[in-house]
Amino acid sequence: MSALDPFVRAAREVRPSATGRVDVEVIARQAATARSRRRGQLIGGSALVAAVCAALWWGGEPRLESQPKAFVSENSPATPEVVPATAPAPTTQPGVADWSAPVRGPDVVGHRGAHTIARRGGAIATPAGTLWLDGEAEVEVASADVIVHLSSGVAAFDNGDRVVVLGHERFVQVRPEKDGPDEAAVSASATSLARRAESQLLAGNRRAARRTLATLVGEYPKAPEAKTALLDIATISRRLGDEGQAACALTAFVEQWSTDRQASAAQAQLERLPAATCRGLRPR
Amino acid sequence: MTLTVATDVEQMQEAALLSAAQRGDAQALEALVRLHRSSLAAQVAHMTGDPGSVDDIVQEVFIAAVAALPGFRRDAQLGTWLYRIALNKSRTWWKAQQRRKRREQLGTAVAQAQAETPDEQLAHTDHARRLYAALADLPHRYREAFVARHVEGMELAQASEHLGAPVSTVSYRARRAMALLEQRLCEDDR
Repeated sequence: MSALDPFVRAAREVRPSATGRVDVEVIARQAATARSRRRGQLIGGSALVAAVCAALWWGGEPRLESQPKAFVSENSPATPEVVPATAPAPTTQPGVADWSAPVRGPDVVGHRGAHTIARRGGAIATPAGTLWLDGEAEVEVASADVIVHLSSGVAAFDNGDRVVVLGHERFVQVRPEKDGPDEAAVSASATSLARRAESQLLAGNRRAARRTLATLVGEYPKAPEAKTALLDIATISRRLGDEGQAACALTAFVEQWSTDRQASAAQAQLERLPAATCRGLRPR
Repeated sequence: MTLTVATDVEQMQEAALLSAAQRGDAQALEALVRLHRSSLAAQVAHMTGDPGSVDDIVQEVFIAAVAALPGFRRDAQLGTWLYRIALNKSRTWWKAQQRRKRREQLGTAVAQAQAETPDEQLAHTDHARRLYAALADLPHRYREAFVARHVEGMELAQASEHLGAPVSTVSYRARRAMALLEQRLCEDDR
């Protein structure tokens, strides 16, 4: 018998005064709003870490210590086997993406509600381009975005955007590139260089990939691919033990993309590296 | 044996409802909400001691749960998962109460305990009010361990699972909460 017993008994007798006011429709509506807000917050939120891990993954190197276990799957090959995109291309006119069409292709293994489950190491066609996957992925086709939800692993769009999801319950939103002839032309060239670098990384040729990425940055400094390329150069350089060039790439990133969400993370990385005086992307 | 079979069937039904709700089935979602609403409301009432806030907190718990439902991996039972969300929402509620208390210099909300006679009702209500006023001053981890163990009447292992803390930690926190509450409530009686 404790002195608290009457208090505990009283507490046990506390009942909700009114029940049943829970409105399922309101719950569903507000939950949908909360979900979309959460997705929005994650756009680019961990892109630097993502890019770093992507480059490490593609290079077939050991992963960062901070990387969650879910990223490393026992079934994942050291170098992911990339299956060519054999999925049918979107049937709509160029520039007019049909977001309502279901995502299909030989690597699609099923659908779960609005989500598509794709085979590990496969590729699927989406209105934003071909999505290359490593790790089982659920791809939700939304009104104007492709939402990728991977249980583990790496995914990349063939337009050069890289999508890496560390662990589960992470969403990354990839927007299709804007239309416009000049921008499209630049993007196409930058994209082809980014793809070449990606292939070189997949083949384990990191020095060649770094050269290609440096060319991309030099020729198309304003292209979105150049932004990712700078981060990749930094990552590859660090893996090659070239901290000077890593610092120069990060310095270039911080200077050229100072308002980008990843700038502060890049700055933090930069501060952990030895100081370097740079000429372009190379240390003097 | 009958009870075990019934529980298994309930769990299978819940699992089926959960799968359907994760696929976006509105009816399954409604059924799940209906299935857990009462127990969740009672738990929230015990966590806060404020019956008037229960509906709002329960609504918030379900909104958070439904928003995260596609990513729910069933590492824990749905009830345990909801309990943990309710813990977080209750923490937010307690913080708001403490801010309001400081601002308005008022006591915690008066819990209306249920009892058979008016005298008992009065005594119960007074005890509940004093207990929750004392709980308001405890760190949330102690408060949660106390409510889970002594108000909800959970076994140590069950409380450990619901609170996401080791058994020994839950045991220590609950005992520490008891000691602090006894000290505080006995001081009030003097």
